[in-house]
Amino acid sequence: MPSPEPVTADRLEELLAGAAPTHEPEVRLQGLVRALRTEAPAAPDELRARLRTRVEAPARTRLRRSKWRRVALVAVPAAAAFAATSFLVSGTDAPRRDAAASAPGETVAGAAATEPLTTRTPESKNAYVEEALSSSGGTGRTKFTSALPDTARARDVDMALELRLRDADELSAAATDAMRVSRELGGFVAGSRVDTRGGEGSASITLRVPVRRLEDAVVRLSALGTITAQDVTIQDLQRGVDQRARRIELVARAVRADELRLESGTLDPEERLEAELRLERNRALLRDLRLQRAALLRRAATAEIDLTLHTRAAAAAPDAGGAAGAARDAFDLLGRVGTGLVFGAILAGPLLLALVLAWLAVRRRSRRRDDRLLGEPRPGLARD
Amino acid sequence: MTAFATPRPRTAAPRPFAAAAADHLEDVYRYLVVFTGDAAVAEDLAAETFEKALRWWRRFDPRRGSERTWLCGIARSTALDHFRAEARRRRREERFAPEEPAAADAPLPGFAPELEAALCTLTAGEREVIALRILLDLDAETAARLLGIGRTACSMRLARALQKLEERMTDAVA
Repeated sequence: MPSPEPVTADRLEELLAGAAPTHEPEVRLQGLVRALRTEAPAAPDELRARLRTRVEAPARTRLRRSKWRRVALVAVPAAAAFAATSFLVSGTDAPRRDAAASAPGETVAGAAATEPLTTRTPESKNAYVEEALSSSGGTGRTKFTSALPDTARARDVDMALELRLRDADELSAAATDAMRVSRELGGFVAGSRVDTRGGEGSASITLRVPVRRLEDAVVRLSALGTITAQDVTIQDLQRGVDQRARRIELVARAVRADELRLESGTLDPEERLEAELRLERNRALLRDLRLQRAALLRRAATAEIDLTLHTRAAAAAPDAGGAAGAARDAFDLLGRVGTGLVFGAILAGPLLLALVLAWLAVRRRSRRRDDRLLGEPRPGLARD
Repeated sequence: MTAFATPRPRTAAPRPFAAAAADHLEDVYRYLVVFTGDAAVAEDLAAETFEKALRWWRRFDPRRGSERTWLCGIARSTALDHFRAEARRRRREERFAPEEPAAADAPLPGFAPELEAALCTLTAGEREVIALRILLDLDAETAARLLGIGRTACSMRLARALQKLEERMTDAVA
């Protein structure tokens, strides 16, 4: 029997949509479709009963499980987000330090045990001076300078003091007074810059005063204006001094030994030349070491005070709260989050891409396997 | 829809599952019977399908498709899981007992003998597209989406399946 003329896919769609058949193959096809639809089996009663029993089972257990699952789906990401935010905020909310925070460098033993020098509140000109004088009993030794324990160790003391004055005239007078104070205490002015224009002004003066007069200098300079910032850096120099002293001793002994050998007249020409060259080197080294030690001792003998005078209002305290502080914190947090996201994207990008490609490959393989299965009359079962 | 039409709520609750199951049980069963070519297997798979559907009923979104299409999707994945499991079982059995006789097939109830015999000679994929387009009367686009193929490919697959079915029936009569 000849093969029936095939019905095209488009024509089939038209026939399924209700178009009338126009020739024999289409009539047969329509008959086949009708047969499939009318002869299709009905669901057995057993299946209906099974389904009815299952659907009518208590729904409370199902609802309870899905309720807790939903709670977990919301709570877990929320908790993770909260934890991440807390971590980021705690990073931005580092203990606030003003300009007079504790300084770097080696600190003198015992200084850390005293009250932090930066806890002084600004705008306490008169109160500070009065407290200083009263606590010192008139000796000039204040709580501030008590951070420098009495010791014979060589130390390099750098101090920064910032004062606010009312106007340019007061600033100019204070600058003059500061320089006078340093001279009266046996020190000197290492550098100065004064700038007054109109009613405003600023001045930057570097003073060096003997370390033993530092307390007096602090008291007298603080009285010139309102303290807005202060800082102290103490670097121990004694170790360097001691090292150089030890080396000086050793090199001096080597020099003396070579001098004695040369004086003895027992060396042959070659030994004599070696001894003379060595003697020359050691004498030069000795000179350098002595110069270095002297420089360290000179540094330790005076303390440097960087005095800054200004007439502008005090800057907003770093730990100011309110809307401005909250907005700044928010921007800091957003910046950190954005940076973290970009960093995460850069790191995770290749990994995510690899995962996506792997997933696509697995999916394609799975589809091919399914297509092979569906290409069998009885997928997975024994063939006849 | 007019400008004053009430917008559809985002989370429109579907109707009770029992009603949907009762309405679509026949369609799902018929689809599985023709797809698997085995009435007994189709019954088990249909029960499993509705078991899954009952668990996932809250996820059903009427805006994304009809209940019948959603249930057929679950039925299809359930059947594919069954086929894969059977294939694995078959491979294990062949390793130990390669000459095991084939199990007797449950006939496809309801169909005429010639039609049943012809259907059993088609591949599962061909039977599937016939079940979806002819028995369930799904449109080409919906069936294509369920099968994961294009609309044109779906129509062509159906045309080839029906032609093959008719040839087998003609050969059987002859």
